[in-house]
Amino acid sequence: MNSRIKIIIGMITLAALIAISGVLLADSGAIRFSHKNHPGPCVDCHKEILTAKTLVIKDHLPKMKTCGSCHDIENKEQCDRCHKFLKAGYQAQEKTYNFFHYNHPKPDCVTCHGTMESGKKRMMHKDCEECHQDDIKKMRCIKCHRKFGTPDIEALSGYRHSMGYVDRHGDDARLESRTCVQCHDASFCYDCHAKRKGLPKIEVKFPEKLRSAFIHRGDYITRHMYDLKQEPGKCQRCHGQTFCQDCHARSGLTVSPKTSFSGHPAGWLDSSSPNFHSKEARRNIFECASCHSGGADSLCIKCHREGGADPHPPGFKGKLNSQLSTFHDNPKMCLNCHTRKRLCSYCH
Amino acid sequence: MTGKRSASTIACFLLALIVFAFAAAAGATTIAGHTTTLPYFYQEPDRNDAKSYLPIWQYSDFSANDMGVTGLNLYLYGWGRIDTYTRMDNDSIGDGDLAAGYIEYVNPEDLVTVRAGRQYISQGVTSSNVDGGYFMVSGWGFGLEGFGGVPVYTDYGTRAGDYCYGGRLFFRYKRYVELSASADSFYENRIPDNTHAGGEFRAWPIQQVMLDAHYYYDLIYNMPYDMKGSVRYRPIRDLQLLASYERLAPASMIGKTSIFSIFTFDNYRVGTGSVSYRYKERFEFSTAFSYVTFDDGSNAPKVDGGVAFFWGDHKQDAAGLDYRHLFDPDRGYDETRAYVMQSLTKKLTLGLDAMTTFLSESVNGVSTSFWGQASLEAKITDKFSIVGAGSISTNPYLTKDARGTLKIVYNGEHTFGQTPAGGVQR
Repeated sequence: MNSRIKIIIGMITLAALIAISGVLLADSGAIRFSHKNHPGPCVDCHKEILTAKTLVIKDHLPKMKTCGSCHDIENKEQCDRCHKFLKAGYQAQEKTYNFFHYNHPKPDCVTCHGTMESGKKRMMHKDCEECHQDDIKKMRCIKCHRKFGTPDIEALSGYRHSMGYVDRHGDDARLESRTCVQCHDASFCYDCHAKRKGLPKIEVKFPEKLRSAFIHRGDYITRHMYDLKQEPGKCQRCHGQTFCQDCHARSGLTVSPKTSFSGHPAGWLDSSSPNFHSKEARRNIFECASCHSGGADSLCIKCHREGGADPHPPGFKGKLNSQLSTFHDNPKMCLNCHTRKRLCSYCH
Repeated sequence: MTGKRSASTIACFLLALIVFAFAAAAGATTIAGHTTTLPYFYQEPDRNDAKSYLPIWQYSDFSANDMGVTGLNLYLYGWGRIDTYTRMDNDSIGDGDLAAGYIEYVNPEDLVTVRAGRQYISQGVTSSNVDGGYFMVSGWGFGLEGFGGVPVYTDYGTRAGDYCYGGRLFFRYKRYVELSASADSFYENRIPDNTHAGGEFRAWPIQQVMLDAHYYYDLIYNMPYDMKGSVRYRPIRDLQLLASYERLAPASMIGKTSIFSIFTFDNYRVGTGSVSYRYKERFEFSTAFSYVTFDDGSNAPKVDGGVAFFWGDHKQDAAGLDYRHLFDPDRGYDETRAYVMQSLTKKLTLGLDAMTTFLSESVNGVSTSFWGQASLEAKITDKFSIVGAGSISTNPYLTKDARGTLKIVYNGEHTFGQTPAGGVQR
């Protein structure tokens, strides 16, 4: 069996296993409870709260037998009095903070939680800020927030994802990738930064994300050559050398015996014409390579061979000495146009 | 995919699976998995007949945290594709790869990170996928990170004789100032392909102002290839102003061992200014202007703008208008986009999206293109959802185009036992 098919079958099998395990492991259960109706010292029920080192919320709550000291837990007809949605099942509450009482000592429970009579007091962000100022400034949110996918939090931060953030996200990522991973799963980076060939553009994977700043949204085929001309470096950051040619060849746009397609303006080969190709080739050789298979190997050297038109950029000879070791180790480029004998004879 | 690359990918994938199984046995506290199945129908016309395609992509990622030791984590992300109708690649009926697969240790104080496997390195001058190792140690404001391995190229080549390494030394002053120096070197078939060095600076002198700068130098071409400085200013919470200037040398991005690199020497500069404002999480306005100038004096200005309105459940019910104009009388365009997202029920969300592009030139007698898409997302449960989407488009190059997909997503996560105190959650 083809090795790639094995990989695909393996991945689908694993996906199915994950799905099944998720169903089997799903939690259930909810309690109807108010502190107002349950006066008494907190630690009578929350016996291990001051020493607990677990984030599993049910481990912080009293066991059913503790309730049994007052309630008749053997009476099946009264289950609904405390247990909500017993028949339908429900989504378990998830603890979303990395918080432990043992390393937040306070003189008593009332300081943070209020009195039993007044009801449960909700802890606010400002209650934490006094001690955690440094963490807040450094955006180390994950130190406390276990789940940090709040959609609008980026708007409040210095990392606001306003227009053009796709272009400048690298400024943040190269210094502060630890800040990024607080909200974004690792797959978020890999959807764009992993090896791309064989994958659809990211907009295909997320057709429902209309608010995302995708670069190639919609019919990008119409616009891509204009963006390429406007800022060629932006395309080159992600797309390799054969990217353009692969697609153009499939679309029948590559020059071949089967096609007569030519997108060149008049005067393309006339050195006196303002449309002469040298300027465009110098700025963006990728645009040439996107149609002319093999680029310099098959096309440029027809004219630019040794003794022909000089393709070297201005100042090339001046830089040659400083780059000599590189060319010496890798004459592959030079040998496209120069014969080895002539090339060596320049110095030796 | 060459035989050598295919073998290394499978070996990497199997090794990761073994470690993953070990992780489960070792008592990881959290195991999560996300899968996306994506059948995608489209047509790609060629000169004589329109070919139809129906590839099915499968994306899966798995992570296991705190595998017996706090901060010992495993992450896998892979994809596969089967061509069920027309082959996308004549040589095979499918493809697949491990996008990322690594095991890492992050100590509870987040001062030490060690990672091994296929990973994306984003540190200073380096932004690359690598099969290899990475480390970061920090303390007393100083830090050192480094990597080494074999580069994972985007779409071509064998890997014999390829290797890379790099590092970054940084210093953080206690409030928020960071200074760093970084360097990397990439070799293709033992020949230096890219060698870069540079420095980064970031400061947050006051809450409202953030300063950023980097300067990267190409040690092969002996010239600066990427320089940038920017200021972000937020006079009030909901208003952000940004100004930046950068200078880029495309030759350096291509790589020394490419024949094309010798031709590409026309560097360019980009000046950008942007403003964004939100009003009570109900209205958002953004605009950006960038001015690209090439060394030969030609330029390419561009303006982007957009407004968005939100109602109901914020971020779910929204509508927006976007506009872009590329200034070029011969080869520019105006692009307009309108979209709306509306919750039909608690579990169903409808999305409509349309774009029209007006070209400044006429191609095949046509200077307008249109694209429209409708999507319906059904969140069956918190972990399971299905998205159906279809689009149509017309443009000067392809006569008419119809595409469709049915995306099936499952996100599972389970926490076992207890999470050790102070553990860094990913």
